[in-house]
Amino acid sequence: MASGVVLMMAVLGGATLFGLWRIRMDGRARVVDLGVITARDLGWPLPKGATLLQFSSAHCQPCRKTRDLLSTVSREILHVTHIEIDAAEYLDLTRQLGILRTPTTLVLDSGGEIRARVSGQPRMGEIVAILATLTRDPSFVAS
Amino acid sequence: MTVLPSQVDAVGTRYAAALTTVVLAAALVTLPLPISTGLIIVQGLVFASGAFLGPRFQPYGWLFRTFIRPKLSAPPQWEDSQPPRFAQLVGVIFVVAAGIGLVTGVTLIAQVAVALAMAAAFLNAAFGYCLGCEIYLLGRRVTR
Repeated sequence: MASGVVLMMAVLGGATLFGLWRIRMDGRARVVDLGVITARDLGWPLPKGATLLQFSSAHCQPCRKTRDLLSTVSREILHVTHIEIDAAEYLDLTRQLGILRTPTTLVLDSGGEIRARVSGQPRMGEIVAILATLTRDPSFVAS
Repeated sequence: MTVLPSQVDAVGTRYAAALTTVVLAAALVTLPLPISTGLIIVQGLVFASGAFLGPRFQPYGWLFRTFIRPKLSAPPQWEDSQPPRFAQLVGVIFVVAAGIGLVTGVTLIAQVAVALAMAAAFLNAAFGYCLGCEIYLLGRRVTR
């Protein structure tokens, strides 16, 4: 009994700290240098312009919210395409990139280079700012 | 938006997770008394009904729709029922693990299983945390 009370308090306390930490960190864009996504990785060529490549899974509610957000961004900003793929169908790619959870979104420039990575539901302002920087780059090839 | 086969009210899902947290906390505190076994069985049946029969047949969802929803002014937030169903299935697995602990007399197994299920339900209720998002891909990566 007593050990159960202690365990319950410890688990709820730990879960609270974890939840608060996750709220702070979730959806933050990180500028990363993970290399290039090629047609060989995907099995099909990337669209021209910038790409928001979203890894999703079937049982994931935030993936659906992320889809709505990113498809809105791609409609509002020129030369940006949103592509959502099922992470389970690209397991080699998720291993290569170290993707552990869904949704994970990669922001790719017109050359397929990974310019930012977001775990969780992205923050619209951050994505828009990254895309603004990226599409202003002299090397950017518009769609 | 795509057309979804079955929708649930996300507000109800959070309430159901809160009730699950309370039931599992009570079960954890009373282990290994018979009342704890009873609570774990009840919660197991609730998880199973949600996972295998669907959200309409999940008793906590029914309690929410009958007693709480009419009192709320906030509108329902409809979302696809697949993710919460998957979460209920994960709950079934935890309850089975707890059952194995009870049957074999290893209380620690039951305690750990119930504690993990309670933590998952609590994170869902308090933060809207999506356990399926975290473990589904990891599981697929390990198994293939």
